Amino acid sequence: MVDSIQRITSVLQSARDLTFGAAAVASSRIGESSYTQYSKSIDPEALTRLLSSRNSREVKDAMKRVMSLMATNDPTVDLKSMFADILKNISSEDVKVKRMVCIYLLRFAESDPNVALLSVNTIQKNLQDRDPEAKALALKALSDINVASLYPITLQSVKKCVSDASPLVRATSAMTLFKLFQDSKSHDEEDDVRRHDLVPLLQELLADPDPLVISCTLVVLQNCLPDRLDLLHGHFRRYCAVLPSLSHWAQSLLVEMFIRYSKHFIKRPVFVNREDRSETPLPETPELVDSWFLEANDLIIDPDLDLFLTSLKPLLFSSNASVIISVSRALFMLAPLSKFREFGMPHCLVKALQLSSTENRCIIVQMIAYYASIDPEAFASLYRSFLPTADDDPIVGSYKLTIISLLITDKNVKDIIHELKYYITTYRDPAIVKKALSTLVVCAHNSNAFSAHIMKWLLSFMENDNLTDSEVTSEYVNVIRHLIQINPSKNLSVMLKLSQIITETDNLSAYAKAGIIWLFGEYIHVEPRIVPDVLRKLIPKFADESTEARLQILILAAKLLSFDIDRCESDYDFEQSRIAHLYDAVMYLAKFDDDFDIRDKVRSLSSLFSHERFEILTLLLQAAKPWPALSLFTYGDKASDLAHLELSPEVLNSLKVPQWSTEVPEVDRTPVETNNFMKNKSSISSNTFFASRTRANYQQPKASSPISSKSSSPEPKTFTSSKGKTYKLQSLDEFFADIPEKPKKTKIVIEEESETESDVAQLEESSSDESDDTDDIEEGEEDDRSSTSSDP
Amino acid sequence: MIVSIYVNDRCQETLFQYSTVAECPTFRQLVVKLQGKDESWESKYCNEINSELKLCRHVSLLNPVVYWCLISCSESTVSVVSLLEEIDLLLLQYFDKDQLTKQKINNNLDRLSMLFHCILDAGQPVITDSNRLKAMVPSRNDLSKLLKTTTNTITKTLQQPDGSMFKNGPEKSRFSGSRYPSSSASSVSSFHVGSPGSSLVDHSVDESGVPWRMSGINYANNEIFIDMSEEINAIVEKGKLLTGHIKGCIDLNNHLSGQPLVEMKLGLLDHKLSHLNTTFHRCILEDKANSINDLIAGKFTKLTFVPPDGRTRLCQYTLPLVKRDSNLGIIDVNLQSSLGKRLDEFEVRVTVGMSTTVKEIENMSMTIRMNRNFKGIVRVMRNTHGGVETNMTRGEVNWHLDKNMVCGSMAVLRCIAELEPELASNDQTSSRSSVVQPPSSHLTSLLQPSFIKCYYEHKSQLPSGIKLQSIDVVNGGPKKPFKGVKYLTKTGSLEYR
Repeated sequence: MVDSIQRITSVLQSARDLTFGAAAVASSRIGESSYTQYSKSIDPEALTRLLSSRNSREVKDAMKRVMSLMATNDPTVDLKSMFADILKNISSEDVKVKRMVCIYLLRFAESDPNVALLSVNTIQKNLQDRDPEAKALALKALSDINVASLYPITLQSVKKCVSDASPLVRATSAMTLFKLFQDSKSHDEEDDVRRHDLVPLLQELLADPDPLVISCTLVVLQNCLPDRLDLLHGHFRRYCAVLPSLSHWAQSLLVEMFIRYSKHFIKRPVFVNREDRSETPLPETPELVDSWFLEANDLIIDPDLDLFLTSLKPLLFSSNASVIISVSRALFMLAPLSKFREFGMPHCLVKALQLSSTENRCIIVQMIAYYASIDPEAFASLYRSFLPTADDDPIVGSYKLTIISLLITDKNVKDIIHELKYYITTYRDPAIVKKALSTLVVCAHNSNAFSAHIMKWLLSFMENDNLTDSEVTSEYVNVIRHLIQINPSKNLSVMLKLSQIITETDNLSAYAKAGIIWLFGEYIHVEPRIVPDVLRKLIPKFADESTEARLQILILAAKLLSFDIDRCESDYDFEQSRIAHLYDAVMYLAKFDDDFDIRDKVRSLSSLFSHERFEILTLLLQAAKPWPALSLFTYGDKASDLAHLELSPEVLNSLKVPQWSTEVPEVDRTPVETNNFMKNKSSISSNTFFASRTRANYQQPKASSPISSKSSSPEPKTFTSSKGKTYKLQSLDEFFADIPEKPKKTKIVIEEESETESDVAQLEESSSDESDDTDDIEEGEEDDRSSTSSDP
Repeated sequence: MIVSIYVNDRCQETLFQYSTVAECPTFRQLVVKLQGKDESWESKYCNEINSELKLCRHVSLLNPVVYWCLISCSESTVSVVSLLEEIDLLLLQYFDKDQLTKQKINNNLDRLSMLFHCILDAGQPVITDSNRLKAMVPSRNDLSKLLKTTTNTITKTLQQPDGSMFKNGPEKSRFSGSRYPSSSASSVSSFHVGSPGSSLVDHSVDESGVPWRMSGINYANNEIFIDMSEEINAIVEKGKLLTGHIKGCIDLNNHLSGQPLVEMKLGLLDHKLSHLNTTFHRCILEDKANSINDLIAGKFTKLTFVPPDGRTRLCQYTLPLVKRDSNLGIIDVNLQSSLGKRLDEFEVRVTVGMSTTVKEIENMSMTIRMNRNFKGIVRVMRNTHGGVETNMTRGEVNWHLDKNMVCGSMAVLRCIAELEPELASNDQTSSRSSVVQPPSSHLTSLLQPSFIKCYYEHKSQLPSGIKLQSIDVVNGGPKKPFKGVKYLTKTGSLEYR
């Protein structure tokens, strides 16, 4: 007991240690919910008062309230009226408050540009901030104010920030370029001028060593200058190495970009025959190649393309589905199918399918369906992964069945049929049942034995189950029709069975019954002897049938008569013909039908028959119907015909890729690359952390040493300066920031030339030096922080 | 370009909206527009609003929210959905929570706005690192947390008059086996973390160091926790496994000072983790101690990495289930139908096996789906555990077993299915004519359940048998970090036919 009391007192002691002000604040807002309650109590008048308060705490409370109002779109408070009050807090010391003001500006700047412009001065001042975050925020805010007259100021600021020491600031300047590019799209003349301004800056950012900056720059390149792939020449190899470090978003962008790049600038891979040296280019759309062909031919692939494909390997571990899809596309488009399997792409796609959310599954299954339609063998062993479950989204389920239908082989057909039957009998979703039925037809195609089995099962199912959904039923009838057509020799027994079903059982749905009656009409010519009998049995119950069935009986009678007339060589004797009598009976019944459609049909048919327009009737009633649109019935060239997969337009669009260029432009990827590669290393190898751990780098070996003159020089200097006094430091900062762009660039060029070959050894030394430097920097930074944090 | 992101609850009520442009429609306005075009907009993953804009959906797997994202048509849907998945996880990591509740969102609207402002720039995602975000939007000053934990500790102590918690509480509970510390212990530890000395340090992501880790992190208590969870997805037909896979993930929650280098060894049994079935966090992929070729070959013995601070999803994997694993974990469900004289009864037997590590099964429930054409009622004849509710409009019988079921027990549910009068009378006529004969096969099949969906979770053991062998901070200082691992088994879509 004593012990516990002691503990309590010690706890209370620590609580007492808190400052009075903090305790007062805390007492009113223990926990978030009570704070929210408090925040909600702030009414508009109080809000204006708090916004103008001198107490930073109150300002923050007010801004938080503004944020909540914006996030919930609360119409009760007019935030526009507080524009000026909110805006003046941009000069707050607190970065959070500043950020909140920026969010407000982003939404409301356009509504009152003149007031918004008032903040520009403060924002510009913030651009000189030492803290990279504040600087980045200022730049972001400046570019978010969507006012045309700000363009020169923003441009000027970006120019400074492009060479900033902090990657965050450089990344933000990349996004600023993005906004500047987008604004310009409206005016044509200005566009050229702007491009002239902006493209060099973008080029500079492309050569940046930091993955974050590269990620942002790639977004700009992809969205603003999609046709300027030539800017990537010098960076191709370096980006291949950096690929795993980029953001997921940029990874898939870059892979897509490199697919286009490779198609355009890299020589198409060719198969070269080992014996006669004859060349076969890689097919435009991938197709299966025989193994003997692969044995007899060597694949000649451009080293750069090979580098790109190899650099995709780490991405296979990505948790992001879009990256996996992009990688699969790259392998599919740029290399022979053997490579696709070698990388284990089928498994990777299945992995992505199983791990991702429902929405992504919808898209991944479509991609798999496409790949499986071209290379079913690669996926054949995985077919069990594509069995739909009751939890699957209907879209996923039906594509899964499409994939299953592509993967049917002699080995698995029995299991698949078993599963399909289960889906047909138990699933509630008509789309899945429909799909399962059509997949069943593909199974039936595989062997005669199974086709008979399926037919039998379908018939017994039809007797037992209530088919209520019209779509399912029509699919059902379609399936039966297919099966009959596949196997004309066996259809007799099936049709007999069917005739028995429609005349004797009465649990068939209207649609099913109508469908089967139609089926008899279509197959009069196969076995003319059954049909009149069926019709005869149907007539007595005519009045009890459903509307659909009555209409079909009527048409069946007409078809039968028309067929009989055609068969008869001499003049048809209506008086003697039993069929004509049957027809007359149906006509008589139908004439007094309730349904308008049926009466109408009777009129038109009887007028045709009475005027003896038999040719027209033949055309109307006995025209060969086209194959029903069942999947997989264009068996011959299914690879070329994607229509049966029923992919969504977006996926189809993503499958379109430019063709390999016939004449590859002479492109120099190497020389520029060495220079930029060094830039990359300068910051990555100088990592204090990784430098201390020596290991084989899986990037290119030649990458391990050099350092760029450009990025190494400003960074350490600004940092070392941070150790000095504050005054000095600020002036230095400004000094570096104010260096005009032009002279600097010329300097780089000179250094590029001088350094590349000779100074490697020296540079290696300096790289180790630099790692020491950065150690110092860290200390320096921390010193700074502790001093600033103790100040207030 | 991402125009706007809406975070809705499951009833499509907007909780939070962030837009990157000035004039942006609210979700309600979009709904009005969509409803005019297509009634089934809610079930589609992507809806076109007009020729320029489309609306993507992402139903969060982790949180009870739905994300909707208004984007320009030129963006690829799969990238945006993947981004939303990433953001979903990111928010949990940022708030250090297991689930993002509606209340949490309502309390943090300002913070969410700031987070999205950092994540998105010009309608494009820029920063998606949890640590970078933590540095840019520092979490609430730990003061309120501190007071909260203090009051928690005090009330807990007062509730236990003998003060046993303090006598041996923290030590015992924190070091009992390799489990997570109990909640009281962890609140004590966060008390130290939140002490003013350490929390006021201004964090930033080190520009020259590891890009995914904040620098200047200092904790009084060094702790590292591993959560390993697996989800069973399978279809079992009459005791035989038809198809299935296990979805696993390894989450790390660490509070370690400085730049810790962590070494993790997994006991994989005969499973193999390679690119074919695994995803790794970039901290594993980019650490050069793990050679990419070894990872691809699945031959790694240990994983070395510098983790980001706080929560991280280190690894996700899927393992295909093969026929010989037909006994999934320790639960076995057996469905027998067509029982009784009239063949209209069915029985579900749930056997919970014995296990040395698992003590009890939690939140177990079964959903029994009747045949889709079955219309009538299901009555319970015998039920040993929990309660049963029937929902005949959906053709479902829900059996909620006890909240905690002890291992080594067996639960039985026996039900009788009765058809609706008019269908039954149909049946009667046929059966009256032949009293001795059982009802027709068609009707029996109508009375059988089509499948059972099974839900449960338990701790301490994974169905795959994968275990954490060791986790160590290699370059740790004098203080040894506290380590804990938690195993959790859940069911995803587990179907017994």
